[in-house]
Amino acid sequence: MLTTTTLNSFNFRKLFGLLAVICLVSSVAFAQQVGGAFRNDAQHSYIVGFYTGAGQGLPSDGIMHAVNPGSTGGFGNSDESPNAIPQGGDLCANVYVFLPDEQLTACCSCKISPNGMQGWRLSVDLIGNPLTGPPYVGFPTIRAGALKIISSRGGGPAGRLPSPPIGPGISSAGTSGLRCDAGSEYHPGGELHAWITHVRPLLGETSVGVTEIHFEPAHLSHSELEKLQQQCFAINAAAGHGGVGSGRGQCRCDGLFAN
Amino acid sequence: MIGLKHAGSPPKIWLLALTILSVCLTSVAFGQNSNGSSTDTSYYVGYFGNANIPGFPDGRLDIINTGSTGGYSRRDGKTPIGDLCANIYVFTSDQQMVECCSCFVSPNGHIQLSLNLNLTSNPLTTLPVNAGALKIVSSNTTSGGACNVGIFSVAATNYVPFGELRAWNTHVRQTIPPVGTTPALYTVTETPLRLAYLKANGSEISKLQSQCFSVQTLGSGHGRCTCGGVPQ
Repeated sequence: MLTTTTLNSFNFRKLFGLLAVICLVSSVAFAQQVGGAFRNDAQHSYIVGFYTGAGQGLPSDGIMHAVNPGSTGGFGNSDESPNAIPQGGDLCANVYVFLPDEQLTACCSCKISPNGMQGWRLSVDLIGNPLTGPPYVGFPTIRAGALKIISSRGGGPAGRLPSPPIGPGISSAGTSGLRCDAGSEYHPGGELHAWITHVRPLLGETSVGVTEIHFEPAHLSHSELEKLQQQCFAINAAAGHGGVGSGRGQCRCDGLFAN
Repeated sequence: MIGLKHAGSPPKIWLLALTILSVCLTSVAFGQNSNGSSTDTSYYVGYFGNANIPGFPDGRLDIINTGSTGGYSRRDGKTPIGDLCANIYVFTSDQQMVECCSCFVSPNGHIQLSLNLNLTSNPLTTLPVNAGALKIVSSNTTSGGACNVGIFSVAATNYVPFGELRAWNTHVRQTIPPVGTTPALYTVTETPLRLAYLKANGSEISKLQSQCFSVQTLGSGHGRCTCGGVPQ
């Protein structure tokens, strides 16, 4: 028989210790469950959006922005302070541009340092250099399609298709030496946030409305990642990384503009 | 036996302990419910307004397949196949389902629907549809890779929610023009359809399926939305 004394002095300590453990475990489980859809590193690295209103002669262009929040490291390799640790906050934004019928038409990989922002003009940087020219099957020009961005901490080994992609399209990361390559077997990692504006005709083409969406995180399946990397690798190879090809199918990374 | 009779404060402590325990266990249960099955990624809700109002610009619904359940389309000849059906349900503000349909979306594919032409132009009844709720439930295609079963959309069948889509729709609103000016001013916003919890085999999915079946059975062609053309 337990007495009041033992309850007060000993068992309640045990009881509340046990409750504390239960609460800790349950809160961890809760955090994993609620955030489970997107908190997994690879899953949080995959964000999707779309572009629209291209190729219609509208008076304004769409703009996509991506920001590195520094969640995976506050310092990039090129930070001013050589003693800043931990480094490794630099990320690659692996960008994939699709036609509405799921065909990959351009890809590129752009370095974004912590707190850095990269901008892309829709008509120039994203779809200005499509893999194939118009007309496309079922539609005359590129007007809309899906956009996907996968963040990674660098490029991986060369892709699994025959010709090795070497050289351009693979944007180097300036002083850090980080290699970004959307067509390599990189490992998704890190966290980026992106937005894109949509310019749409309202009443005829003289009046437009502009909206902006935030890219949404999604689960990244192995087959989807594999396909993106392989298809981009194929485009890179076709684009002349092996010395042949037309150089088409690559989006551009030089959009550090202010608007 | 635990001697609580003469313990003084222990009953209060036990009550406190039980309260803490119940709160903790409730949080665990909530966590499990909030993301326990694939249906948590398959159910999206949004709204529309100012549809079919003369002079108002049209709204758009854009849907993409993230490829999260398979990166390949049937026509790629590789597996896993990630083709999905976007089962779309259109409601008026008083919760009446007025249209439903299923649209095929391949991995990385993009479809764009007009609010006025595809979603609300063919309601079950002749009453004009101006505003209401939009729901999308993703599912596998049929074994033949389609989103229709005979004359019925998959949305009207007893399908299992599956897969992952993302969708956004625009909202056109009229602003008050300055005094003395005649042209109407319109503004456009855009929102993502939000993920919501849909209990597998629960009442909501059963209701959506059965109501859509009724709409498509009784509507004599009315009550069916359409899947749009090439995204613009």
